[in-house]
Amino acid sequence: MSRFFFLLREAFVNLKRNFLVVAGAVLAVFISLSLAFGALVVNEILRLNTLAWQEGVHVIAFLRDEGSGGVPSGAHQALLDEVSTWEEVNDAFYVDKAQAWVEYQEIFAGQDELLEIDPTILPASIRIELVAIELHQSVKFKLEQQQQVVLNVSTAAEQIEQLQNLSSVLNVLGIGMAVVLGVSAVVLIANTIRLAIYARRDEVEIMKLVGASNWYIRIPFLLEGLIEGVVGAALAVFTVWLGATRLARASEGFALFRLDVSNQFFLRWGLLFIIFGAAAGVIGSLLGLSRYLREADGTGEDIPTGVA
Amino acid sequence: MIRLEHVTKVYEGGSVAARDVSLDIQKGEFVFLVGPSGSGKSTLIRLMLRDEGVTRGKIWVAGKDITTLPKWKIPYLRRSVGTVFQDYKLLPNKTVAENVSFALEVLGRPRSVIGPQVEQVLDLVGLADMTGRYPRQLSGGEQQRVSVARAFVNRPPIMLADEPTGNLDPKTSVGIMKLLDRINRTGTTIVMATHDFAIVDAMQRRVVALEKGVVTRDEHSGRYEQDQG
Repeated sequence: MSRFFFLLREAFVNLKRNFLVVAGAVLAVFISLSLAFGALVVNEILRLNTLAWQEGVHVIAFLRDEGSGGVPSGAHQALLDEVSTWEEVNDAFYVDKAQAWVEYQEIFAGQDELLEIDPTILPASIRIELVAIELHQSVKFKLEQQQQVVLNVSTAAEQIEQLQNLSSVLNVLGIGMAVVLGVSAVVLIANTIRLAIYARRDEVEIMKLVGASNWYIRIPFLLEGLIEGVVGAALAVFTVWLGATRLARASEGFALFRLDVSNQFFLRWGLLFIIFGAAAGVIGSLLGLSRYLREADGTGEDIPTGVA
Repeated sequence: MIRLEHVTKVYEGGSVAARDVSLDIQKGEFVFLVGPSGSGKSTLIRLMLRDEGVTRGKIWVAGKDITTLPKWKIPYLRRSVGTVFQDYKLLPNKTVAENVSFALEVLGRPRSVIGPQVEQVLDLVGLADMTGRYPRQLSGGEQQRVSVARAFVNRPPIMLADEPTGNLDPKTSVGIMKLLDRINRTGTTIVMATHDFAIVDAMQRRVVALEKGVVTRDEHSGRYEQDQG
């Protein structure tokens, strides 16, 4: 136990002694992982919103009034019946003029100037939920063929599709960024450890002189890398969590786009990022240590072969 | 305790630091390695410590062939060999007591053992009242005493000293030699590389003289220079 505390103390003394270099490494891990974790959170927000939008209505067909402009009575029901049979359609329902007015009042509640309209100008509509979002063009095309009944076709599917594409791009970008920045974090930690070894070369020499094993010499440096990785990653997770929750709070009541990501998501991914930070720290330390301690063995390297 | 059998050490570039050196050092002996600069004294010390590998030959330390010792076992060898160097090799940011206890801490000794052992050895080297001082606050002789204390705190059976009086004035050197003599009398084998003839002549111990890596003389109760008559 006393040995463990001695090693831990050595690691902390080292961190304190090389504060600026250590701060640089922690900052590098922090920036790298903040960007990667931020991308992940943005991706999650997009995923949640796409999901939410996908669950709703994808296409709305606004209809001409029955009994005017050559639209026969019962044409709306006939179109609804037809649309319901289309294989692209999962569900379809009819919203008459009275329901449209109720909906309009809900949407623009409190905006008196917008409510001063003639309710009869609001068209009836057929709301369609698709089997799959990418089928929206085919359905839109079919509806537009019904010009006699259909006044206008509105769809959010294009936007949803764009969001899905953006989400895929962010996925690739996030993974790419995590890899590149993760590698740079490892390299930076390796450099910090190398500098730390250089700063403590006398101490390391004396440790070897009095019989400390290589692993015993390595452990404080490994702990140092581990601490740098964990602290940097924890700071990144905390900062992104803080930013995301503040943003979510500020956007409360903004109905079109939800920004709240569950704490469970932060906990799960945050832990993974901290583990990644720890691993990056240890790998960086091992990289930084390997060359130096191999040379410090001082055994055999300078022995030429074949000396008579 | 230490045996060198036909040891040759050739550095990269071809310079020969030891050529076919054979030595047998008994337990409790005090051996001076003497010779001019570049004669191979320090190289022999480093070879005995497995700080460097031999080109040819065998070295036994405490009954073990250290030339074939796997790397991971080298620390165990060094735990049984105390070392003292000309430049003291003290940690400037640690106090006298911390410098000495460092040697026990890295071996994982419990605090209950470290405290009394450090106190005892600092008393032996005459620095009991300087435990809290830093190396920069000590004279050269005092720093070397700390170095000796650190080498001896683990009670190793062997002590290797490479020019331990090289940076000290004659009077201080005598103090260090008296200390090493005291340690030797506890049964510790001491091998000391030096070119300080006054010390060698005064101590009257075994002298191994080297020149260009070759043993030219090996005398019990010898002197620095060979008697001409």
